[in-house]
Amino acid sequence: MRAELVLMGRRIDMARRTHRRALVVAIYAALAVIIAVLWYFTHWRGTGAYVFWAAMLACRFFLGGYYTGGLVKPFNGKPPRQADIPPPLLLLKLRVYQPVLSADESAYRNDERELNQRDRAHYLAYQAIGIAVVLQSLVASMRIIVPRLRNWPPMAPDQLYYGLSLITIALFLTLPQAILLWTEPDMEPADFPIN
Amino acid sequence: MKTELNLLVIKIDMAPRTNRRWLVAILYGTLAALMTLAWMRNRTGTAAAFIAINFGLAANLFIGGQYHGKYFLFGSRGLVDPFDGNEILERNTRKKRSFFSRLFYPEIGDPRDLSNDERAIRRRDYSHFIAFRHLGSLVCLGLIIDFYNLNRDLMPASLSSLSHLGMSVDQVIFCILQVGWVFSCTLPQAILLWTEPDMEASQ
Repeated sequence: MRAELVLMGRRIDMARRTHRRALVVAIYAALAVIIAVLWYFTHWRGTGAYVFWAAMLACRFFLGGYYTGGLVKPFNGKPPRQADIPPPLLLLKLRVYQPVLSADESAYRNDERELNQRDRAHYLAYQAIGIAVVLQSLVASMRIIVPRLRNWPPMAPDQLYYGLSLITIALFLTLPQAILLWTEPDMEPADFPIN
Repeated sequence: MKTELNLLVIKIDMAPRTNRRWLVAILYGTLAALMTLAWMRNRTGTAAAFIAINFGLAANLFIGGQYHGKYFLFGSRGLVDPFDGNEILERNTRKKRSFFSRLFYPEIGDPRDLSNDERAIRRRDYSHFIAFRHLGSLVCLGLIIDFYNLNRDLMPASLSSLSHLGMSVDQVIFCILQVGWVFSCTLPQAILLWTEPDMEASQ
């Protein structure tokens, strides 16, 4: 796990757990706000995909894990595809590119401890995703088996199910990384040299 | 992981990996056949949902992972050690336990049946890492179809119907969720059974 983020050209110390927890809270609060705002203005019609893209961007810039970039190393341990070319123009403009050279093996290769932590985080996240799938199944079955319950929630059954899907997909994309950032203790800056 | 499956009076050797793979293939094959039949006979999907829910619960009697008690029909728990065995043991050693703790986590028999060693925990976590992606892909598929459903009038007319599948969008989503339920209950155990190499019978 990396010990710092670069955001708008500023280096933010992420060695301390409190900082990482604040980042996780901020990301989930932002996702919740996006979901609520999109519901308020469009009832997610045509705009629900923005939640998906927001979660992807959160992974790309802050969380990492399934994407190169962000604090958590890539889960697959593979080097980034564009290792030898400079970062895209958008990242340079936003000044959020990685301070560690991507060709550096320590930037993407997980050691045994990190692999164990990765798998443990997925074990915990799997429970949450399983519960979310069960909730979705309940909603989907209710609207077919007990049609009179369709009028019970203050939104159409399709929209309720779609909202649950959006939350589930946001959790799927971000939860293992969030668990890692939340549980990892304070890091020693000396153990994580910045290139 | 146990090397023997007790099925009433029959004991099946599960030390060779091929036997375990056969078990996984038979379980999922049976489920696929039953659900296909149920969807063909009952287009609301309620029969298939009944099958999926009960399969998700009952398959754990064979493959293990979730249950940790003793079962009358099957002799004992399933093949895979209970995933949360160490947590249950730790919970049972507490002097003061709440009513709900005693309700959901009753007294245990032999602690050796529950405890997971370090290797078992690593294998458990790794199987969940693999299963997480599969379950997530299924959720993504459900989201894409529901996005398509919710924005049908924004799509070209040729795409605004799934009639060529012979199912409504609601039914397709319901079917995906039934598979998702089964996956969430059984997939990590199935991955463990599928990937664990041949074991010594004495284990």
